[in-house]
Amino acid sequence: MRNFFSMVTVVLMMFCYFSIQAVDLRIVLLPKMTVDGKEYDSASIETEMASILTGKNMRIVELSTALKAQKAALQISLRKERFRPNFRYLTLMHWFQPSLPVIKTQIQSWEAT
Amino acid sequence: MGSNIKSWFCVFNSKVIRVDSGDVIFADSKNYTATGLNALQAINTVVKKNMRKNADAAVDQWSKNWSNEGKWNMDIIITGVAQKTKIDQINGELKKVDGVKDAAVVMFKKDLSKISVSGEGAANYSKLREAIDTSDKLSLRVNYEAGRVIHAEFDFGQAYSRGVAAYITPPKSGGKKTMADLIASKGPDLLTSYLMNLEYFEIKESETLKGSKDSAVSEAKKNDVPLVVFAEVVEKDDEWLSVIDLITSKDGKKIAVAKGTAGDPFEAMDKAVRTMDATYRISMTKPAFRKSLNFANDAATITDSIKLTVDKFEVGQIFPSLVPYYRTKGIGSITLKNISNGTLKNVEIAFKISDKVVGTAKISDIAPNAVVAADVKLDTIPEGKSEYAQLAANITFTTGESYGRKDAYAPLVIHSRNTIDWSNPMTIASFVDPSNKAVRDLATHTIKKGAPKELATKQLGNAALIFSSLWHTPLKYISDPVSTSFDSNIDTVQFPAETLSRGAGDCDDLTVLLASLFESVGLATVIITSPGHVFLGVESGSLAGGNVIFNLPQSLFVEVDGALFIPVEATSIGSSFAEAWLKAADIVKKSANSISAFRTREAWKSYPVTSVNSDKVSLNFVEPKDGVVKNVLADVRKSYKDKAPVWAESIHKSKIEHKNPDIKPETLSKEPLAKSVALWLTGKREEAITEAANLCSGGTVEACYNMTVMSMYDALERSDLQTIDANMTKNNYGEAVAMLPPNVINMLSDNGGLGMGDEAS
Repeated sequence: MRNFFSMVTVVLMMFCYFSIQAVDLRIVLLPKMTVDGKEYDSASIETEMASILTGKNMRIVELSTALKAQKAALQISLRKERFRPNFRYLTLMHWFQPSLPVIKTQIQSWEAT
Repeated sequence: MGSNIKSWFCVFNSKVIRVDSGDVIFADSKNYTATGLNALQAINTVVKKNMRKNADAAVDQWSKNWSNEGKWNMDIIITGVAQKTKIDQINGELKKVDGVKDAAVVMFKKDLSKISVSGEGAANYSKLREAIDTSDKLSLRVNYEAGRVIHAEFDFGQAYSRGVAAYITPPKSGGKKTMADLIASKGPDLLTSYLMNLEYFEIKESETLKGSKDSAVSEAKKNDVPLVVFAEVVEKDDEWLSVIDLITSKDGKKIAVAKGTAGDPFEAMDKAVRTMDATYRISMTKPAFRKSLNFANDAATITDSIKLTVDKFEVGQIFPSLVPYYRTKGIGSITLKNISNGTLKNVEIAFKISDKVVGTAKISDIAPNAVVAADVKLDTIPEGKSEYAQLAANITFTTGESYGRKDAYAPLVIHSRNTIDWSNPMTIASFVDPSNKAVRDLATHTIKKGAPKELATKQLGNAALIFSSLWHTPLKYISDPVSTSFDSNIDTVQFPAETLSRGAGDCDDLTVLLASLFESVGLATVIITSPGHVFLGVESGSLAGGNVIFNLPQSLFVEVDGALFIPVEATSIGSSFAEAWLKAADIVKKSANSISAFRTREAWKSYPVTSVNSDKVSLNFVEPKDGVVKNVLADVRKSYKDKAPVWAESIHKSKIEHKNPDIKPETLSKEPLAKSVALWLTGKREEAITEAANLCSGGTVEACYNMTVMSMYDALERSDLQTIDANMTKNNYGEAVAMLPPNVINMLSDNGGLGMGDEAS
């Protein structure tokens, strides 16, 4: 019997800034599944996670929606001059990077519009 | 043989990242062993069996700590409270809400206060949110909500509402079906509608006053209803006067008297209620008044909180057949007044019937003291039998930092879909439905055979064919059931599909069906009304003055917008087309002064068709007997007393035989318009147009539209732009068109150039 090393990655982005109530979180689901380094269709994982999240009153939204909200959140923060303690210049810079890396691998860059 | 099932080692990594900060708030890694025939199958098994349980727990864990380790704080911005003590009281109540850790008044202004509330955990936040919406102790009404900021208004109605028993005394009936009868039967409903505008009244009952006022007051006292309203409406000097008394049931003391005078009883009642509202609000600032109703001092807040008043909210009756009309024109209007010192912005109105939004309106900013009116436009109308409904207007706006809201109510009569108000006869056009499939199929089949040439025009021929083939048994005339309406103008009309299905109808139902049949094959119609009766006219194919081509006198036709229509009595079921024509012409002649007619196509512009479908068709096609259709003109001519001018016979003959008339146009010098027509029919088109142009320049409008139509068709036939241009210039075509009355231009455009030109072509 041969053992393969397979890795299933599920990345959940949480869109919480505009949630009106704590029970109403918005989630972007970015699943990625690799088997032996090769990317496979992750629909089954997405379906499973979506079912868990919606069962807990969370709303699944599109990535583009979350990125727009992110921009709005930033604007509000800047206008109110209220920055979270962990808000760093580097983070801000990242927000204006293209979104491609977000989808491809690590969450490290953010789109402005 | 070994097993094909293989084993895989899987790693499941999950990461949750906040969008606003980029913080990774949760990261987890789980290992699983999966088995299956291939990797995908194995992983799917893992996902379904093992991952679910762990993922479920992981989601619970991070969602609990989604924000600031589960802690939250929110701001409630409150308007409508003028006393600091009241804000402190609300703050105290918020502190008592289960799950609230702390609440503090961070700002107090006479018109805007802010309370900050904090707590921990999503469940507790939900509890607070629910308390804000429902707690009687807080009495807050949320007007707007964004993130962790709630804009609420102190709900005076909820905090200080008092039960009211309302009684209305109807006026003495002046006869059958009068306004007095309406108030006697529907008065309590109407009164409720108006009283609903006073949010501090909780209407316990609304009835017609049967016994004495004293016994009504005692009854209210017995039932613990503190207030009694007595409303009365009387007709006085051509006006209506409404008097409303407000009485405390405890001691029978009159605390407010309000009067309203107007042209109709509804408006009078509305005015009286508005006056009472103003009196009540002013009285509330007086300690003695507050004491009499057992109100705390902060009830005086009521007068300070108002920013917007609804000066007028009037809607008429709804006839479902006119829904397309209401969408554009509206069913009434609402007038708003800004009585605050600031500009009201983002003013929006949602109109609701039974809590369902039926229409919306957006108004730009309202400056201080400005009055703005908006149309009440409804997109959908709930269908049903005739009934009274409350139309609610939920008005929302922003002013400065606060969000405001005002609700208004008006009574509304929703008629059944078949109801029509004859005070505006044009609305019957919405029932005429030429696009109904059954109607179109029947009419198209009927005219397939082609009209006999003896009838001079294709239009008359097709109209006669439709009538002769379909207008007989099993179709029946049955009068409407006795009207139960208070208004003698209110009647019921069947849609064509309904008359087809039922196989019977009264004059308006049959008129609507016949007009639908005619219009479905392109025959323009007119609806003709005489007192208590309605019938129709169908296009003759001729403009006014062209009756000569039928060798018939002008009095057999109805002229509408410059065209000649053949009147048809739709109730003449089983009669020949000639008989139905003669009968209708007789009505026109006898009631000449009280007849009115309008083109269906003109009416559709304001009252578009409402379609109703039906599967059943109780109308039989029967091939008309030989000669019945062919002899229509001869039969009419024979039975009708008035005759056409002698030379008309020759024109008619030439028309049906496609020959030049045996008539010299010169002999018609006494009748120049006829001469022009004769020239046209003899093929001397340019001469005909010139002749008409001369008459047109001389001020004969009829000649102007004859000339216009002739020129139009001449131009079309020649397809020679240069000649057309020259001809037009020569005969001052533009001038002729300019001289045409707008209604004639509309008719020509609606009917595609109906008239002499059509014949010539």
